[in-house]
Amino acid sequence: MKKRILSPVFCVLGLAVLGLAALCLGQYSLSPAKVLAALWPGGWPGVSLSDTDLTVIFNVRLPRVLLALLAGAALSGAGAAFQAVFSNPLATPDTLGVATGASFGAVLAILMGLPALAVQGAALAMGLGAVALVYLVGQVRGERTVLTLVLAGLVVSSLFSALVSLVKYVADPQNTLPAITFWLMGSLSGTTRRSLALGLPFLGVGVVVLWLLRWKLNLLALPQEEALSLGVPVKKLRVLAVGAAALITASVVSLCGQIGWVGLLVPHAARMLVGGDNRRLIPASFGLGAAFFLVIDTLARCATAAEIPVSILTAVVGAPLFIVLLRRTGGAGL
Amino acid sequence: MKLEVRGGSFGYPGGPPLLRGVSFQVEGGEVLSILGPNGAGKTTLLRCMLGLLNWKEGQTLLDGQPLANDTRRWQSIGYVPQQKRPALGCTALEMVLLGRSPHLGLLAQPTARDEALAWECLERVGAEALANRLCSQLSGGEYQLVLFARALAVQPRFLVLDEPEANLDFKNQQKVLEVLERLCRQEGLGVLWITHSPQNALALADKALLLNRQGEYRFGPAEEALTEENLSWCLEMPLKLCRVQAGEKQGWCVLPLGSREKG
Repeated sequence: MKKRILSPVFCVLGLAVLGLAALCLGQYSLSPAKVLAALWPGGWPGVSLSDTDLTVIFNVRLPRVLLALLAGAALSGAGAAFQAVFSNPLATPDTLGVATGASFGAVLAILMGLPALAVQGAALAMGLGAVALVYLVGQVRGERTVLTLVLAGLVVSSLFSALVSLVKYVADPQNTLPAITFWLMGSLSGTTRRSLALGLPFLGVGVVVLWLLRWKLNLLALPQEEALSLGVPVKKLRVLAVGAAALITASVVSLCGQIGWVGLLVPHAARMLVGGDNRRLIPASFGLGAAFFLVIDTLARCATAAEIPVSILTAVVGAPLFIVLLRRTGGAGL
Repeated sequence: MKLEVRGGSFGYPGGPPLLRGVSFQVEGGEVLSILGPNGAGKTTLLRCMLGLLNWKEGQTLLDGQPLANDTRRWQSIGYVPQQKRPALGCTALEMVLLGRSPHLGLLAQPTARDEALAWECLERVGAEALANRLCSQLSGGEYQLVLFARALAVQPRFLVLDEPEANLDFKNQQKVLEVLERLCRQEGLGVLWITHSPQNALALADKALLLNRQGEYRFGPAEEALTEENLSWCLEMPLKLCRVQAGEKQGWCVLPLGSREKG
């Protein structure tokens, strides 16, 4: 029964309908017929499109909708992967300080007045730098255990969070500080075709790697000795999984700022629906995360005249949803 | 089919030597019981034997060949460590399926054949009723059977178990012993197991290895190694072995005569 609720075909269809709805909604409203005609030229002969219609669809909404779908899917998958790697239901994509590191890269670039693409690049580089630092620091007496990694992540994360505070402290309170604050709360409003093209390959690689490793993630969740005795190259596999999840987290932060909750909440929601086996959990997290983040972002840009930062919405909408799910399923799958 | 340790020595860095020149061998269809007090190095011995730790001296041989140091060795040896439950939920069948891992590549997924085999392994230990239960909700005895099934899913030739009956109630201890005996006698698996109970060791052993806390060991056929004198030497306390018979059943009872500190 569980499988039928979230069968892949149903998921993809549902996401397509959601995506189509998101393309129609907004300050400049478009009919579904127009959107379909734009996406499939010649398929809908009766519909005429103005230049504004095309610009709104292809330059503004389509990149943003695609990013919301992919970032939500990737971030949730990364969360599920981190929870398996650390064998801990409280692990999030930021457990190793990736998001904090990426945030520091971005706010530093904003402080220096660099253009948007440079901000994106700095965030990506600093996020991956942070996880590399964690791996370096986490090696104690030649051993790298889950515990030393998590501790190193904690230290690196607070270091970068202090550096972010420092940048905020020295930033010009008239224009730079608001820009930094808004960026830190997360938003997809800055999405362009170019930023999407730059970030997409990283997200894509991360998603594919996690999808391929989905069964082996179950083995990583075992105590290390048991995993080794089942012939798992634990170190290699952990580097692969952490690398893919870190790549995803850093790219998402570089594209849309800090996004709280999604990476913790969606994998748990998915676990309650399909159980703890990562063979189903990873794809379910992808699907659920994509849908959740698209709905959140569409709310963020349509609910009021001004954009609402997505991190606020993920918590405000996500927390009650999570509580309902927890009550309904009794935390099944944990 | 022979698993052999020759002259194995080991000590943790900075500590005294724990194991000194241990040699023993076990063949398919045989049970080797390993006994020793806490801290004698029983688990360390298994880890070294399996290559999870490196011998300081000596080596492990499988069919006369040094044990390969790559993942291949896990295709012939099923290891059941002391129980530690994973923090994230999965069902018993999913847990058993993980035993197929040594035969599947890094990016491979288990097939329907692997799933059928996992199911069959649950049946072999008599735990098929647990298949869809969450591991976190199983009792200690039930989870132990699931771990057995997972080790069997490897399709091993040797089964290595670390205190499989620890923390189980009396009936479940008997069940564990019966399953082990059946796997060994009927399916020809070689079994090495650590136990803290001399009585359980006497109930199921063709050979026995006794370790004491001075790094010394005694190894031999069960009837020669598991004597009153050897058990007292190993467990550091006097005890008496009594032969008991009840109808067809016969076995040994172990009567402790008080720890040495008292007497």
